[in-house]
Amino acid sequence: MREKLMSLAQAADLIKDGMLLGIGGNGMHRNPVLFSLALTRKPLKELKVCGAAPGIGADILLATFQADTAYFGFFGLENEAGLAPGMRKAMEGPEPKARAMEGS
Amino acid sequence: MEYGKDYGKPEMMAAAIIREIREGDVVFHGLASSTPMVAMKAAKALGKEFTYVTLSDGLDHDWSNPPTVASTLTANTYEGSVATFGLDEIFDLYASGKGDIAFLSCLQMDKSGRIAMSYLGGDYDHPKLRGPGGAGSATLTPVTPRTTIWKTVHDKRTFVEHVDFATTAPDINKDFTLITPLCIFRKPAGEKYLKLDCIFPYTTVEEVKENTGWIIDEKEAPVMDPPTEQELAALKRVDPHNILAFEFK
Repeated sequence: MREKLMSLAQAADLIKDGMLLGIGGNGMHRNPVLFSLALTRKPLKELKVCGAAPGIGADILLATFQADTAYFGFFGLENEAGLAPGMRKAMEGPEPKARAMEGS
Repeated sequence: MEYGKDYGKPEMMAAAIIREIREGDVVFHGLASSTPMVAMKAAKALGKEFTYVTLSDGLDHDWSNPPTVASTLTANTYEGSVATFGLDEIFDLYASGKGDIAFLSCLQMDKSGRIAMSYLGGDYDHPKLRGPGGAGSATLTPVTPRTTIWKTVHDKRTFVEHVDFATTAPDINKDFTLITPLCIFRKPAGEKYLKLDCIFPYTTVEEVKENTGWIIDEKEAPVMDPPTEQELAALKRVDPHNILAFEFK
């Protein structure tokens, strides 16, 4: 069986431009935040992110314009922190950098 | 019970939510739903027999677990569950007609119960404000016998004459209810528009009309009883950190 346990840097190296990433966790909870932060050091482009209720982990990738598409049912930070600021920054206005694909 | 002394709008809304739940119901709320979460724990504390499913995958969790933050994704809605029942199974359950109530919310709503959750202003690809998305409401609303929307503000920015882009809308053949800090609106099965069903003890029909963006035809409405001593005691028992107040700040 292929070894899956690896360092954060090794895991980040697996990610290439344009990949679709399933970001775990919901809202502000159980997100792989360090992994998203590791990707911001590269940086990457045209990533797609998906999840039932993506939150802070996916929001970092939108805030840094590394992701251009998000597939989700709910994308936000719940009542604790409100609407996702990175998602709003990337998706709002006349020339948005990212697209929302809602499946709700 | 005296408004402002014994109870406020959070407790009144929670009591109204508790009273929506009938014996034997299957009831769901999703994430970002601290108000119905506290109300449903209190309904359990009051001894109501109903099945409680939520996004944490917990089925009938130990209602005495107190919430500590205004999230409905933490362990307090899972620990002590009688079974693990995931979101995919919840959607299957409701799609097969076995759910009774889904407590959902909205950014905006109009008189026919059309709900905006996706965006406000602009268009879908160029929104002025990008919302969080429907969070399952587009799936649940058409298949749920008594979809119930709660919203902790009641103003003309929220309850508008016309929603431009409806993320979801009620089935004409199903009941649909809106609970606000001032009143309850209901759209009975078979009807198209929400009607003012009752107002809360501290308001008037005039105040409701002044704060609603659609035309309310009803000239008067019954006043709902304030929270009972038992309901207030149950809310305090399940919510010692007063998470119920969070959405009203």
